[in-house]
Amino acid sequence: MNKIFYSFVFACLILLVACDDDNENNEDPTPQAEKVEFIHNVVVGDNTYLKGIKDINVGSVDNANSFTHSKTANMVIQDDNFFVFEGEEDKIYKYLRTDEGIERVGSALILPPKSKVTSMYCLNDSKAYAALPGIGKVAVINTQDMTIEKQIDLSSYALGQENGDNNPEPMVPIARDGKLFVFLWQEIAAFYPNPGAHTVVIDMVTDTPEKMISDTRGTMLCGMPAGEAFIDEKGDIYVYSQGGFGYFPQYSDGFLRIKKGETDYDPDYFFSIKDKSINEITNNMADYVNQYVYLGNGEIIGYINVPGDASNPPDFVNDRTMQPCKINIYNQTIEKLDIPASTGWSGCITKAGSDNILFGMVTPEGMGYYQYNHKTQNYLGKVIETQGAPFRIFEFKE
Amino acid sequence: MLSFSALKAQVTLKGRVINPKNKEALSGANVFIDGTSKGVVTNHKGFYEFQVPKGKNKITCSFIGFHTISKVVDCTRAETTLNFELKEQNRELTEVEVKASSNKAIIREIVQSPMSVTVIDGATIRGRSSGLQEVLTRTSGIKIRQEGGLGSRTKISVHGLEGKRVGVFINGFPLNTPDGSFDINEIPIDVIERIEVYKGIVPAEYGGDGLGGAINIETREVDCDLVAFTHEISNFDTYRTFNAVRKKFDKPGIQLGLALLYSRSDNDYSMDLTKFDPDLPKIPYSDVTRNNDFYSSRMIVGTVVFDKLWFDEIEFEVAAYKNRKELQQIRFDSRSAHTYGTNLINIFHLVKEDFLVKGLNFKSSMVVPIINTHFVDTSRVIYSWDPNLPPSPQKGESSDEEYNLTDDKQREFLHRLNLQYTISEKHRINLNNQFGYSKYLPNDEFLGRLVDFELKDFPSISRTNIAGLAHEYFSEGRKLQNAFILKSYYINSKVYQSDVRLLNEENNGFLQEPPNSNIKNHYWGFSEGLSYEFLPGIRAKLSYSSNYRLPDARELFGDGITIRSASDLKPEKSKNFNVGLLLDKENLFNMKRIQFEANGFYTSMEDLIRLEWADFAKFQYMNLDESVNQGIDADLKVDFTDVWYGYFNATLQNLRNTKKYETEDKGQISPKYNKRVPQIPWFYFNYGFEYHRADWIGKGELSRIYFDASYVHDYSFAWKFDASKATEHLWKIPSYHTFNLGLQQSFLDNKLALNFEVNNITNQTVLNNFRLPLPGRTYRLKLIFNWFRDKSEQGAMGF
Repeated sequence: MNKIFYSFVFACLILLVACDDDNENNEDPTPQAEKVEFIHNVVVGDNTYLKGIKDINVGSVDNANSFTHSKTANMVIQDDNFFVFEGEEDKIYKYLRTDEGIERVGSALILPPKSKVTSMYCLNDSKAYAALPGIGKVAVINTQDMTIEKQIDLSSYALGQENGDNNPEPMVPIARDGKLFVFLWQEIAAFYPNPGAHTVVIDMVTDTPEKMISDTRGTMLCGMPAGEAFIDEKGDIYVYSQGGFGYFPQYSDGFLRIKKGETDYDPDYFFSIKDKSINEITNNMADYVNQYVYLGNGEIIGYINVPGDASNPPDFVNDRTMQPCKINIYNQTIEKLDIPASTGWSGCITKAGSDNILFGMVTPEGMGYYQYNHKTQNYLGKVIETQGAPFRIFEFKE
Repeated sequence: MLSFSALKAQVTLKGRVINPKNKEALSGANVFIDGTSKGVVTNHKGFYEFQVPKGKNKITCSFIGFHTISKVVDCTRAETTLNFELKEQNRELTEVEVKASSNKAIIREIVQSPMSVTVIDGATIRGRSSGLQEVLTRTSGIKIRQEGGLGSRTKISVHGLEGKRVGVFINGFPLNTPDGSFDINEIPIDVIERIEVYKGIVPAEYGGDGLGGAINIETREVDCDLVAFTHEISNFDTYRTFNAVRKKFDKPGIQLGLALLYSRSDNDYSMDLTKFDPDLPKIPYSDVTRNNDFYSSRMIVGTVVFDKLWFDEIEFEVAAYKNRKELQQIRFDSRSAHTYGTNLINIFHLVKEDFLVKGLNFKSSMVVPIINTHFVDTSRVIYSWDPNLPPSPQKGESSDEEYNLTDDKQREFLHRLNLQYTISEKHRINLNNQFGYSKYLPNDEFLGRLVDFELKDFPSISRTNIAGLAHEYFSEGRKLQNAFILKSYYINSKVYQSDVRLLNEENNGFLQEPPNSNIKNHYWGFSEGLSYEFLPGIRAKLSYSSNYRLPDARELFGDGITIRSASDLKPEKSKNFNVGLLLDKENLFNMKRIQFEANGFYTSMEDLIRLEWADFAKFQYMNLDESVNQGIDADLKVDFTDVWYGYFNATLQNLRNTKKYETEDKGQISPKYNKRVPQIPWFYFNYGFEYHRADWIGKGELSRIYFDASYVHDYSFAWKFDASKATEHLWKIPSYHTFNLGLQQSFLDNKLALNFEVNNITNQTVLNNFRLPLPGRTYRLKLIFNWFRDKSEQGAMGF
């Protein structure tokens, strides 16, 4: 009897050792050792893990001492501050880059329930506009003390009010010449859009909406993560409409333009990816653009989705349909880059200095950041390995 | 080397054991060849039958509380009959104890089987105000994770297998409703005969699929007139009642039964949300009240049984069930979203022993559920917990960001055929076949508007057939037992891909009929288990099983809008290895009885199904995960004396993700590889004491004072990379240690009993799920009345 009992105790002890908790570094995540050039997060399971990256040469970055956030945590940078949006938790967290790394500043800003914040435009170091697509509002935020100064109600611009829809789903704001352009998704239900490209124009002096402009050529304007609007050297705003991410054959994707000095779409400009024949990709066809960065002179680098590279039925884990490419929005040309495609569940991008691009991808080489010199057109492969699928990466401006 | 007796010719000895005082059958009595361990236990009608050597044999018959009798019988013919009439001992056992010992004999038989199984005797929980979930969660190897109070969503975890991976059966029939509207907590604790928790091999007679864990709830079969009711009240305006009558007409052999159940609760308990989310300001978040968590259910069950026809039992049962469940949110003050449903369940049972040939037992059960469920979520605004903030415009309160007004219908047909053939006292064969047909007709006026056709016109259909063939071997005296089970899983489904929109070029509109695909697959699984009593009262067990869980309708069909259909979804599969040690000794270390059970387990799981983003717009159920769980659980029960009882059980498991690569090209080792799988408790223990006494305050009355405690160590909501205190509230489900205290007392010769219980005495904040606090301290008062014409049935309380 005793032998049996002792054997059992021994077995328990062995198992206890085996059951030791995951080997995390138990130190506090802040401060990190040195000033970082990038901030990024990776997705693992139902969470994102946020951490700074010192520079492009670090080789690898793990999740030890990272900040845990919910799965779809987006970010925006304002000087040395950056803000993390937890759309699933209705919170905005403020962080600061210091000489030692990154640190959280104060408590999170609590937004109205189901705001689903996804994006914010920082006007200066104290004022920002956060789009709240869950409740059809734009919040004017004092980013110094992280308070909501005003909520701009856009419900009167919602399509489908006759069916009880009071939300035009504001996605991403961008400001120019005292006007805030808030791009709308105008959904009937989640990812089921009303046709058309719609934008509310807000006067930033009074923070009141002036009008909604609409265009029938595009559908679903400027939603994360497909790519934010940008302003080129001429002062023109370019914004991309996803057209329903390929689910709606009758809706077109495409870039639209609001010329400098105007508050309406340029009727002479529309550039659809779906309509273009693209060399060296399967079936010469892509159906929408994913994340991208603007390099200047009408050139952007980003991902296009190549439906011909998907299995039948689709294998969303293994299919690599996100192809890096170069797009010229002036000439309306698309060129496939000689870089491996990524899976649909990982594909972020950032500029790294004046010459380089970092693609956050999952390829046969693994998960991480892949370097491309757009000046020399030299692809250097994976330069930073990550512990999870890259979700967002931003470069701090020096 | 074979003994001489084994070489002798064998003949059949059979008979019946009764109590001459009332002519009642004695079930669970031991009948054996004197001086050997060769023998059998009488069945529920008191009959026994086994093989004995030809010639003269001394046969002994014993039963707790009765004088043991030995008789010499000359077995020269092929079949000899020998009946026993056992006289009661001076200290008379009550009739209740006789019945109880019969149930305990069945429990002992199950526990000694090769399966890794824990059995809870219904008598020990009868009359208590705890729900079934609370009883189960105090059992080794099991953890129940609730999201709220009465009626809230529940996940059962057995050895790390959770949710649909664990089969839940009532009397051997799978309990499943498409929306999970009926949960096991609806079953009144007082109608339970026993609960069997299988942690590896699941017996063949349970026809469902699953990855190796199963819970079977056997309800009491009362074969006499009865009148029973319970009323229970507790905090948050919670009220539960169960009322039953049964009338037996002996001459024509007809029994009529009627049962009514009703439960309701406001579940309006307070929550301090700042305890697990320090970013929230103290005011108002430290004290908010759940406003939208009302729950009610009512059920009426009518039964007719014929027991004197050619079949031993023909039973018709009709159950009508209705419920309403409000859907509380945590992020905001929800006020209107709710579900309601009606189920009409028609059941037809046939039972016959010695069916066509001697030794063949036949059971056939046909269940035809008609299930209608409704989800109402049409609120145009939502409210913040902060009363100073205005309501925000919103399309409903649920997470799908759409109005919902559903009228979903599920039509099912289930048939189970079970044939058990006893070849000899050493060999038994069991064949079980379960066929299931399920037709799902969703209807939602908002959804219909989106997809441009009526979803109900294109119902997805699923047909499954799960067959099991088991062979059981028992050595002499049942020292050695072996069970081998072969299982066949067949699925044939037609899935409409209602999320796929095809363009009709002629009219530039959508095709009216969505594409569909047929899925036909067949899989084999098997189990092998061994149990050996190597010392008197000490038994070792060893078992291995290979199991499947077939994808269910929701996983295959999607929801037509945000969840894509998944026509290529494979079943989940598992391999379980269990080793166990069982000790059951009386009068050891001066204790009346000590029962100890320890199990080591190793389970590997593949193709685990998880809902994941398919692309930027939709979700899909996919075969994504692989994991291995290894661990031990131990369970000690001690009857210190006749009146003092104590228990302790603990479970330690190490569930790790073993999928090394995220993608098929094996580009990089997954960051989740070898990490502990989130949301599954990995260390927990329970303990308790009980003082129970008969005749304390009056002859025939029972009294009980009990104390239960549960501890669950903290575990992670997310994959854990960061252990910093600053952010642990973002991933940690904190540990808790709760204590319950209860008093039970019977009156009127144990026909009436009162139970008072305090749950969570220290009012701890308990979370089973991330940021979903459970009710704090609660007080419960329960009145139970049981009258049975047959005195051998237990009363309002039991030990």
